[in-house]
This record gives sequence, structure tokens and C-alpha cells, in this order.
Amino acid sequence: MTIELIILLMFGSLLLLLLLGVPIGFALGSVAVGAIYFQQGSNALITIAYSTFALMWQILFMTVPLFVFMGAVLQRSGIAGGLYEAAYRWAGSTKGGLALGTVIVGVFFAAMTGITGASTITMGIIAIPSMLSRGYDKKLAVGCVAGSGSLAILIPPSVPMVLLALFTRQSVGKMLMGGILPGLLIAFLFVCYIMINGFLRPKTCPAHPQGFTLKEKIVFSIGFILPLGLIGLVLGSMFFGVATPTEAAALGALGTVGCCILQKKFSWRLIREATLDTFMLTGVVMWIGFGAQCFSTTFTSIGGIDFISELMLGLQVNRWLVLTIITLILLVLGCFLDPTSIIMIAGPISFSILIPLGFDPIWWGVVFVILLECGYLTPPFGFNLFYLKSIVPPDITMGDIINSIWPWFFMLLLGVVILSIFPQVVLFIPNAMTR
Amino acid sequence: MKRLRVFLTAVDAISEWSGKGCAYLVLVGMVILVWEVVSRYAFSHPTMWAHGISQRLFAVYYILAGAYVLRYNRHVSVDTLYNRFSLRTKAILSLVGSIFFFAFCGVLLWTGIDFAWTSLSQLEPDETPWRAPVYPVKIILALGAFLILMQGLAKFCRDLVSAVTGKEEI
Repeated sequence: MTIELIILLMFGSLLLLLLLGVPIGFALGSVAVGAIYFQQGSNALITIAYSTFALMWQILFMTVPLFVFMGAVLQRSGIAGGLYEAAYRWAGSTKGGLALGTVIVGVFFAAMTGITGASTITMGIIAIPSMLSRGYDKKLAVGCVAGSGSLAILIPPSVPMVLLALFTRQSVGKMLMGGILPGLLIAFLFVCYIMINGFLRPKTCPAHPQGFTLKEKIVFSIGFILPLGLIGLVLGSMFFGVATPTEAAALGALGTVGCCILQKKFSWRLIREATLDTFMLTGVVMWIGFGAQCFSTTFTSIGGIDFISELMLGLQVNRWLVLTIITLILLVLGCFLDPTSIIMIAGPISFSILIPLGFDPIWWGVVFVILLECGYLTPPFGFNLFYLKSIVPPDITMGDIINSIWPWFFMLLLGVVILSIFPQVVLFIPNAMTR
Repeated sequence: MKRLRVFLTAVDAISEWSGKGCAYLVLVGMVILVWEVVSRYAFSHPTMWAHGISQRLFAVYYILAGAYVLRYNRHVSVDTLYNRFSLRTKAILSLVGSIFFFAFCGVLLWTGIDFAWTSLSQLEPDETPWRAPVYPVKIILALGAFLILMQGLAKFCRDLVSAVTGKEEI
């Protein structure tokens, strides 16, 4: 069989199995089994055990359950309440102040959690009712939580970024650090949108009638202390090379348990629930990973990756055109597939196309994650839509939620455009790292 | 039918308890890794074993999660089309899909046993200076594949009953 035919068969059967409703990990794994069997014979099937083991044995993968655990504990820790109160006192007296406060809380949460669900749900439960009761437009209230919640995977810690770095053989620490400034940039774009919206449509986001005195602002700033400590612990230890990403994740996980104790929210029940949630989510991610690892090892060993890179290099088209096409494909995939699968299937392939064309791998990794964030927002299968539906009052419909996300979606895309013009924004911190 | 029910209950219970037991490994791993950082900086005495032990604990954690996740049917799939069908059609599609599940997990078990046996017969050590054994993890890989296969078999039986009766009975 020619290589073109094998590639076509592999992706064709994968698509068919996914449409049949076969769980993604098993679909990937069984296509790998088929390809190995028919292409290399049954003796080569040992690749399946070998690839699975290689993933289990990967030290940096330990960050995944640890970051997930961190998010699961934070969600139950009560830390969000104090944080929101503090952010809101500083921002509340301007037009759109509550929405601005939500973005600030979103940035903090993004720097403490690596999964969108934990951050969106925790913020939404507090921020949405408070904005609605102050007469905010529901589209603004819901949209700004959806947008700020999606920052969780861009600002480190970030589970998707760890997965992407591992599956594309990049430095996990550098890619995580690369997300910091782009995350702040996008938060800034969100702030700009809220300000412009407040100026053009003041009725959608009324200011707090009397505002707060400086003393009130400072007293409530205590809500920033614990989160800042936690962020310093995780990001600081990673940036200065004090701890490996795995150790930093463990420090952060233990730190969140410490926060629970300080907030007087600690109970064994909380730990038990967080532990089981973590196990379930990690299991889901890992078993997609096992299938994907088998698939990509097979795909590489039959020469698929080399074939695609050579094909693209031979085409002699403008590299920005290639980038735009891949971006569009990822946006479409984001509407239908879950982020883990996109990372594991499209990650290695897009890297093998774009890196030979001269794009920086850390830069593309960060942009890739921003495109995943878009995938969290876009219907029909944006996860944030479902998270929000589960926590908004019943009179806000799924239609309302979908309508609310577009400004934030376009801000994310604007972020991608800005990062394409100024790639230094991504690369500044990774290049400054101690190791 | 009664025997089938006993089998299904037993498989569910095994997945449930092996999963719940394993879930706590994340706490053990966390403490070990933090201990490594503390002992490196506070006592200037890095441990030789912290990464090796936590690496092994988490390897077990990942592979045994498979059966637990399958017991609650939480493995992610694209259900755009799937969700539009009746219960019976879903069961039939699921039966067809399980061929691919068995293909992957069956090969994983079969090659996993081979893989573990080779490792065990050489008492294979890892490549760190610690040179601790690797074969227990490889044996657990095969065990994890076996447990998820059993849970998959239970799911297959349930789908078969639903496909025949059109009801979600067991």
C-alpha cells in the first residue's frame, strides 16, 4: 500500500468510528492496532503495550492529576468568595465594574487552576447572580464568565498545555511560562471590551451607586493574599528552577489543601470528593492518551509525519497562509471534539507542519491553546456552554448563553492576531527562565 | 439470567473498589514529591527514591482508572449522531463499537502479558542510579487491561440485553 492510502485509511476509519460513538481513546487505539497488524504483522503489535507503558512512565504526566486535584480542591475551598469581594471593591464603582472584577478573578483563578471547568463554575456561581442582581445585561454577565473562565488553560498551571508539550516533545516548563503574558494580554483585551461596552451601552452595566472608601478597599484586599501566595508558590518555584514542574504541581496541590484549612473549609469529605473527581478526570484524559500514543507512534513509524511535513515543505506556499488554514481547521475541530483529543491528534501533526516552516514551537503551542479556548466557547460542543448552563438561573437559556460568547470569542482571535505580529510577547518569559 | 446478574454485580464491585482504592494514590504521590523538595532545600539532601516511587504510583493510578471510568460510562465520545437514536439503536451501535474496544484492550492485555513476562524474567531495573525494579508496573499494566476488559464485557452484556428487549434492565 502507498503511504497516501494508509494515511487516508487511518483517518477515514478514525472518523467513522468517532461518528459511530466509539469512545475516542478506544477508536484511536483500535485504528493503531489495525494499521500495525495489516502493515507490519502481528509481531509488531507489542508497540501497543510499549506505547501505553511509555505514557504511564512519563514523569511529567504526574502534573496532570496534581493540577486537576488543585482545581478540584479550590473549587470547594471558598477562596473564590473573598477574591471576588476584593476585586469588586477595587473595580465596582466604575461602569461595568463587576464585569471587570470578574475578569480579574478569572486571571487569578487561571493562575491557580489548570482546567477550565473548575475556574468557570467556581467564578460563575458567585459572579453571575451578583451581576444580574445589579441590573447587568445577562449577555454581558454570562459572556464575561465564559471568556474569563477559558483563561484557565492559557495562564499556567494548565493541563492542556502540559499535554500538548508532552505530545509534541517540547519543554513543559517553557510552554507553561509562555502562557503568562498572552494570558494577561487577552485579559486586557477583555477589559477594553468591557470599558467600550460600558461607554456605548451604559445601561447594560450600571456602576455601583456610592462606591467604596479607600479603607474599605484595603480591608477587603485580604482576599488577594491566599491566592497570591499560592500563585507565587507554583509559578515562582517553576520559573526560578527551584522545583521541576511536577514538584511545583505537588506543592500547589498541597498548598490548596492548606488554603482550605486556613479558610476553615477543610473536611475529609471535601478531600474524598476532590480525590474521586480527580481520578475520574485523569482516567478520562489518560485513556484518550493511551489510544493517542499508540496512534501517533504507529503513524510516525509508518512515515506519516515525515510524509506530511515533506508535502507541506514541497508546496512552496506562504507560511502565513498555511498557519491560517490550520487555525481554521482547529476552530472547526473545537466545535465538535474535546480539547484532549484535539491536542493529541492535531497537536503533533500541526507541529510537524508549522515548525519546519519556521514558526517557533513554544509560540505555536501557546497559540494552539488559545484556539482550544475558542473551542471551549463555540457551539454545539463548547464545554463552557454546558458548565454555564448548569449554574445559571433557569430563565437564561442555552440560546442566551451561545449568543453571549461571541465578543469574547473575537477578543481571543484578536489576541492570536496580536501574538502573530509580536511573538516576543509569548517568548519573553520562557527565554528569561533560569533553566 | 441470574448468573449474568451475579457476574455484572461482581465486575462493577471490582472496578468500583479497585478505583476507589487507587484514587487516593494522588495524595500519597503529592506528599512524596513535596517531601523531595523539602528534603532537598531544608536538609540539602535530595532523596533518590521520591521521583521513582511517585512515578510508579501514578503509573498504577492511570492504568487502573480505565475500568472505573468505564463502569460509570464516562469515556469521552463524540455523541452528535449517537444521542439522536432510540435506546435499542444505541445499544446496537454500542455493540458494534465494542468490537473496536475489544480489539484495542484485548491486544493491550495480550501484548501487556508478553511485555510483563519479558521484564519479570530479567528482573528489569529502571535506568536511574536507584535501579529499582520496573516489572511490577508492567504486571499492573496487564492487570489494568484485564480489569477494563472485564468491565467492557459487562457493558457488552448489558447492551446485548437492551438490544434484545429494548429496555435498560440490568
